[in-house]
Amino acid sequence: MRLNDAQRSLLVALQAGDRLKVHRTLDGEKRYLLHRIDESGVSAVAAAVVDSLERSGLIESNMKFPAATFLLTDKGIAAAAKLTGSTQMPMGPRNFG
Amino acid sequence: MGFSWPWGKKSSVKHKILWVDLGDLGDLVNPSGPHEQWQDHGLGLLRTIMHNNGVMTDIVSTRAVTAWEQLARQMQGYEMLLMNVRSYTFPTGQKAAKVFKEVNPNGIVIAGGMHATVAPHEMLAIDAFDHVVQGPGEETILDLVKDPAAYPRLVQGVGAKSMGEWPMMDRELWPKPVGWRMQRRWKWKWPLEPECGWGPGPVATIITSRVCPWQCVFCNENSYIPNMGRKPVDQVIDELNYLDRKYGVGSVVIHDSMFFQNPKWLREWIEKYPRKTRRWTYWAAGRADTVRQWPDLFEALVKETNWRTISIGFESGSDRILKLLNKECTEEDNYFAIDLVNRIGDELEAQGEQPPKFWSNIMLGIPGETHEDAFKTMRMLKHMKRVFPSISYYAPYPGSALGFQLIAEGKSLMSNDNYHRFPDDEKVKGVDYQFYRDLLAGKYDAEINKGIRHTTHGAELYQGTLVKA
Repeated sequence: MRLNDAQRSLLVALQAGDRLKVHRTLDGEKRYLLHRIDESGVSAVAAAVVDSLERSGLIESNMKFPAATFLLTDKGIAAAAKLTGSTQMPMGPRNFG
Repeated sequence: MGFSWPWGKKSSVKHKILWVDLGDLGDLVNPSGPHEQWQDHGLGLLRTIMHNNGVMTDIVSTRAVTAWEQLARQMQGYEMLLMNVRSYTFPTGQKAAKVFKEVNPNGIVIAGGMHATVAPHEMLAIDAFDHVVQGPGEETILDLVKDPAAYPRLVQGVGAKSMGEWPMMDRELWPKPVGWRMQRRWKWKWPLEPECGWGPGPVATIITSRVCPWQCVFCNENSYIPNMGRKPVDQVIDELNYLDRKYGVGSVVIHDSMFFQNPKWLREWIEKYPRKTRRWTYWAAGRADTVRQWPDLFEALVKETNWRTISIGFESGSDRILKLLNKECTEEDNYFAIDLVNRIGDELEAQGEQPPKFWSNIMLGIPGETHEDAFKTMRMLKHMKRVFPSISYYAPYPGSALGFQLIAEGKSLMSNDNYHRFPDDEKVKGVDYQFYRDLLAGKYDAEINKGIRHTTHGAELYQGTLVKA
């Protein structure tokens, strides 16, 4: 899969420890927000970017109800490491797929 | 506020009693993951009991609409609303009850469920709830809906003595996903549930036992849920085969708090499940100390019955924290279970079979936890070869001993309008959450990796096996 800028930057952020969560409101609004690791800020992520990375098997839901946080898969970690050259690895699923 | 399809039920009301299935608006219209699509067994069971006894009901779902106005339209004309409220659906439940009262000013709202059981004071503070039912409802629901005025506002529900008394749940009484697009995307063969990553779909979720008998201070579920006889093995198998014949089962999720208990039942399961079913792979939960106590039984379950996703509440890799949690498991128990599953996984993989994997439940941010305690937990996780770490920061939920203590001390950061939905929400005052965020990001890996053990812990020979039974 050829990654575009938005997809690449999301993978790099997740590798660095930022957290991607689905936020819901009582009125049903659904937003994907990326939380900085040091809580210094939050940025919105387009649903299409999340969906494309999930369908490509690079990220997956933590499967916790009622609202998901997304984690890098083994494949996503490898892709992020290729992009950054960093060996830092956030804790996530291993040989689970 | 926007309106969108579906517009909901026609105005012709068939029955007087309405169930509302609770969850975030739109989850059955445009879900973003399997977690939003789980169905509610409590609702399904109680609705089945009612229908089997001639008390007919209709159902709406907050998950099947995208605006409250749609729900209001669907609720018009009913005399009674029933709902099963969990802590994370408490805000939705309140709102649904208020909407119902707006369109049916003389209507009665009866709310039960886990949140009513552990936090009745929060439920009673909501005027729209006319009756709040604590505990199970199998033996209460029929009389209660026939004559609610005969009951006090806070009702003590009565459950069956054994799950063997439960009727087979009619899954077609569950709410339906909305629209063919989402059914196609998730390959959802309603009323079975879609694949969530634990085995192929369609998924049959079942419950064979209720209540974990241990008294971990973060849960204590057996303090507020009465014990109950386990569902007979034959009944479980009959239900699965019925579902397979009718809908086609791809894999099974056993929702029990503690599947790996009661060796006699488990031996019968080992004897019958492989012979009498299509031996679907399944997800189920156990504990490390009982794996160490009954390793032969555990291994036979994994190999012979296709238990492939093994959920274990390890919680911590530190004896100090395990004691604090009253977990009654030790570091050695945990490593024993990990070594055993790693070995079985290697063996099965070498034979070309699917290896078992851990669904590893872990808590971090427990008050009093030191950095070294947390490093030990991360080392333990790294010892698992095939794992999905299900990590949460400790949450002081009402109903649990430690939760009540922290709430009383004013240390809880949880609020009843948001029963913290994310595992990494900050939930207790005084915990250094930045340390944990860095820990999970891998920033302490050099320190963690230095202390990783490379020995096995007795699983090869079943040495040191406990005799607790």
